Amino acid sequence: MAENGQALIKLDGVTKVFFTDEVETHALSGIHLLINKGEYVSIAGPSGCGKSTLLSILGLLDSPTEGQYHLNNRPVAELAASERARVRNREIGFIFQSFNLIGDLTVFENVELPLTYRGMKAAERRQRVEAALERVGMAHRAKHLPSQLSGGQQQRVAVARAVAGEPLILLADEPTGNLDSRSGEAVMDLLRELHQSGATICMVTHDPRYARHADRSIHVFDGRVVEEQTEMAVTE
Amino acid sequence: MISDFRQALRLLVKNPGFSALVVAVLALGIGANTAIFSIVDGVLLKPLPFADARRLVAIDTTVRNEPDDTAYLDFLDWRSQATTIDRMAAYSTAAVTLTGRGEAASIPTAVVTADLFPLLGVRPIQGRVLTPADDARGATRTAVISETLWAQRFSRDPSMVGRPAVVDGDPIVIVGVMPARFEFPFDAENPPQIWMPIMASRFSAQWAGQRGASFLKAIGHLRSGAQLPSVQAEMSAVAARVNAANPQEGRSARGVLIRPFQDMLVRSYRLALVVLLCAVSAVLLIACANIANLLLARGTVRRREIAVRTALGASRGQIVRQLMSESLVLAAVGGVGGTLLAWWGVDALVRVSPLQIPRLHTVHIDRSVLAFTVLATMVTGVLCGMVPAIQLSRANPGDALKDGDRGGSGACGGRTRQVLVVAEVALSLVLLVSAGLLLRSFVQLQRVSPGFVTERAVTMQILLPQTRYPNQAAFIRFYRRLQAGVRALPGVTASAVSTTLPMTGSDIGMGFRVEGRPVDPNVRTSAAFFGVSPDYFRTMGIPIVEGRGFTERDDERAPGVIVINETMAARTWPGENPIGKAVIVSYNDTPPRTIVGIVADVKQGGLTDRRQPQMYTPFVQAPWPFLATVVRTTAAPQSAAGSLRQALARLDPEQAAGEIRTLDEYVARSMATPRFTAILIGAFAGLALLLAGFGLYGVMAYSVAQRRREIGIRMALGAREADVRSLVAGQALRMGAAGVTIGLAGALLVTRILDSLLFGVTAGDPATFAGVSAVLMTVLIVAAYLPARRATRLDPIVALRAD
Amino acid sequence: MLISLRNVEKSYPIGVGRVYVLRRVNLDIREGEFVSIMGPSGAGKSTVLHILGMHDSAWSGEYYFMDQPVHRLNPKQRSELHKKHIGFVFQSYHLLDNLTVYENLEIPLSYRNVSRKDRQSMVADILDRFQIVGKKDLYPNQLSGGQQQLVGVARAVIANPQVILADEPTGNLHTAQGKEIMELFRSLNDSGATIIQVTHSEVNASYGTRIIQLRDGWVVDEEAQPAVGSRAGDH
Repeated sequence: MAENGQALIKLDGVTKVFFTDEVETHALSGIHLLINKGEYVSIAGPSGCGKSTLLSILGLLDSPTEGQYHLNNRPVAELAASERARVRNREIGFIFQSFNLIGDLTVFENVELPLTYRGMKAAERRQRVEAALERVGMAHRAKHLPSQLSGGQQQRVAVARAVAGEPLILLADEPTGNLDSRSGEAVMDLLRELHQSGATICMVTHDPRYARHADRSIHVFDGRVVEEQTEMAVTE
Repeated sequence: MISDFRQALRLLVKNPGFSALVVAVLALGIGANTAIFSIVDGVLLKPLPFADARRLVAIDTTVRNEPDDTAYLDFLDWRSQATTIDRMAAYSTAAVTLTGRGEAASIPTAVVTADLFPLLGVRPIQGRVLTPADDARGATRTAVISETLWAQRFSRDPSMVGRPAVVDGDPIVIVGVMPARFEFPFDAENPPQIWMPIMASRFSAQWAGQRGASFLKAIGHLRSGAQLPSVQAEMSAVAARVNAANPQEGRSARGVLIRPFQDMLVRSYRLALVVLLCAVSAVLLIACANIANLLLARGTVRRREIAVRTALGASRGQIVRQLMSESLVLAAVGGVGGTLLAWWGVDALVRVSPLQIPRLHTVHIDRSVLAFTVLATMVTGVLCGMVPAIQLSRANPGDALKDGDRGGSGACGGRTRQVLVVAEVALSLVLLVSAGLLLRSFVQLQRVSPGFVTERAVTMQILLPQTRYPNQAAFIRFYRRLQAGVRALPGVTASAVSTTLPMTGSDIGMGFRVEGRPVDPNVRTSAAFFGVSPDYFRTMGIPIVEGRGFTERDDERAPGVIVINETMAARTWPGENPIGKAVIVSYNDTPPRTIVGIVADVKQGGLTDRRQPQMYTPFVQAPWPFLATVVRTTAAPQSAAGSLRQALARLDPEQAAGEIRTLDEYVARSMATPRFTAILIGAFAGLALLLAGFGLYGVMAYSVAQRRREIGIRMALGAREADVRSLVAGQALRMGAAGVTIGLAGALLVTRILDSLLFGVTAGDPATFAGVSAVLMTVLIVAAYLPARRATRLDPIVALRAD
Repeated sequence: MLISLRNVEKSYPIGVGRVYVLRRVNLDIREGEFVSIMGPSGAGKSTVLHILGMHDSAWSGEYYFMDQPVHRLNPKQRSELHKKHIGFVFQSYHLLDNLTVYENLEIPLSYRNVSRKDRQSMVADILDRFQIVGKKDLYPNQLSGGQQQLVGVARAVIANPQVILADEPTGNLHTAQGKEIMELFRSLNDSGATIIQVTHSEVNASYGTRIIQLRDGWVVDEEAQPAVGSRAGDH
């Protein structure tokens, strides 16, 4: 387990090229990035700048065309599909813009889902799910379906789902994008609380107000990191 | 409206794969329905080709409520007393030997009363029909012949009319020629070519004088306004009066039964044909459900287009109309294809149909069949289009139009689609179970031993005309010479003669009583009766169970002997040994015959026959003017038939051969109807299975596409391939299981009507139900496997980005 | 008054409570105005527009259109009113892919029982006016985004509506193409059409005469002049 301040994510010259209709699109060109354990990093930039692609690569949902990605000091390039699934399941927690709860499952079942894929025992799952829902203040909604919740509430459930498995890092893709301003604030407060209790968070956002919540802000433009702002005095 | 159709047509052309698939499925479905309907229409629905066909009734004597033949004297009494039936005619079929022109030929013939022609409203193309004067005993022998016979034997010579021909050795004046389309009684294999009065045939003239000789069928024409129940009541009263006036043994059990003539004609085929029509409509329904599903799937993709149209001012009605016009165009193209398929298919279908079905050869695609096809096509179009049209036009346009929320909640009609698949699976199961039961029956039937050995056996039937063979001594003389002639033929390893052979469609029933036992008038003691040559049991391969068969010593001067079958032994002498007992057979008041042996049962009428008492005497002790010879031969059936014919010509060049066939052919013919239904319904069930599998595949493939996002999320959360696969397969299996469960319940209800078509298997046969369910589930698992596998190949990022 | 909304609310039931998309919206629009509705995403801008366009009927409150009480009309009457007086322009054009430009333009007329002959002349007229005669037999996917939106606007105005509703009409376009469309709106407005647009862009709003600001379902501000607001959404 990495100590605070240790490198959790290390990207070296990561490039992503899409080939469509004989046109090469460089979504990412030579990204270098280091995220330490316990950090709260925001990635900002206009739409189409490649920030979502970057997040997908970090989350092992996509693979770079070129370059090295070390997660927790381990190169992920050679992992087999089933091994990548295992890493996503245990080491990464996702929070999406559109919540991505599964409509047919209750709140409880949604949060339970990643634990189910680990083959965890039912009793332990229950305990973890209840703890996670408690943490986001949604324990009283455990039996509801996502459609019975407001957007803000859905996103809290999604956060609970992301943290229930105690991942190494939380990846959040515009977590407030589909929320009204009040609910957005509440979700950002929740993320800050998680960060304060030790979670490593990497968040994509285009909203400068929210980017300020992070320790460090990375600006991506046209597939390159153009600027890094540090809110606190932590530098590489 | 026209632009709706134009746009629909363009859409179809733009998706050629989709359109071709739908049109092919519809063409197959509509084609099969058209073909089956053309048979149902031609055989069951179309009025018989007679004037006032709807008012024709069959009038049958009943014995203990079973329809039976009628005696001529009874018929005459009925005719003179009935008031609700304004015309009545009687008829029977026979074969006669026509000599004089070309070689002697056995010609299928009907003996009729003269009223038949006006009753049916038919006219001759040459000369006249028979008149009541021709019916009189002692009148000049007259006959009407068919156009076919007129052309074949008399080269369409008009001067033949009014001239005599030689029939069974008697001169008979041909008074008229009936058109080729006139067919009565219906017999596809041996259509009658000669119609002559009852008195013109020596046989029937002889029987016509005896009230005990039942050999006729009667047909009547209802007085206008007469209703069947009142006719039945009147005729029952008439029959009771006739019985009272003729107090004879056993008459009390006699009654009369009035049925619409067409019903009586097709009764044995009605259920099979109706079942087939139901099966083929079920296939079309399944196809409709499939296509509705496809359209729904495509419609979900078109939600946006429909929302735009609504936003531009289309009313719900206009949207429904547009969507319906698409499915109607599809159905119409399918209907045209189906008609073409049916055009070709009807001929093929008629060829595999049992020959015995009346009027089968007249089946073709005509205006009423086309009307059915048009109707079926329109119903198909509506059925396919209605559900999608209603579903899609219901959507709230605002949701689909808001940019950014594109395809978000796109689960439009998901439930409907699942319901459709469950219904498809259920319907297929009912069809498959029905097919399974019929196929098992057919297999069981093939396993049934007819009670004799059929291999390499050729038979020939012969009818001796009374003019040249006037008495029993003549019959016996012919029989002896026939036996000798046939035995000498090359390749013949065994040969025998019998009055009738099993499964040839003819049999003689004969009353009997046990010597020394009192007669109970209410119990009908009769048995099938055969006069056979001594080597009959050996040649046919009928095992002798007890006692002995016949020998040459059991001749006309020896004491009467008889061999009975096991069923007769068990029924008449339960717990006793019948050998040595004596039976009095009602054959020309002959003395009691001693039972010398017991043989195994033989299926006389067909493989589905129940056990039936049978008795055999030596031919020479009970000679008949009709006889059949059977030979076991090493020669090919074709050449054996030729040499049989030659042997007969050497015996008597004037004598015509009757039917010459192998025993195998007779057995096969007796299975023609079960085979026909089993094959067709099997084909339909196979089609249904295919369609149901395809339907489930479609829904699953679509559902996987719809659930890309969900699957993406799950994979992002760490689901392995196996997890995703079982997610998809589980959904498919739940639908399959629901369909199978509903289908099993439905099948239990439906298969009950099949009962009378089944043999050796019950309508609720658990093995069939279980086996068929297993087959269906297997197909469904295969159908679900591909989408499930595709789901695991989804790239989670692609799935999530689709949002 | 051409359009009046009085206390219009829209909400969804969620669990035991409700979530509000619009709260007590009051709005008056005069004939000949060019109004821009602005606000961050999720503020309810598009919802207002779809209510005005009568695509959405699940709301409460009062809506008077040309002095007719829309809230009391049945769907058929609403549909009639909408057909007669309103044209709609969408951000993503929403042309029907299977129809040519000509046929796309013909659709609104076909739903309005315009005779075949009149349809021909009206389509020909609009093709001339928008200078897209050369494109009439092309399919939407053969056109650039700007050309597609041009057809979208042409389709909205072909039946001569008094009111044009536009939902981010330039949202998917380059700046130059967007400018062209906005110029078109200005000229339509000059010739008498009332225009209501939803937009994120102050530049686009500057073509109009009035701005209505929405936030979390409330009308927060009405300004007669374009002003700097929060720039939500990523363009």
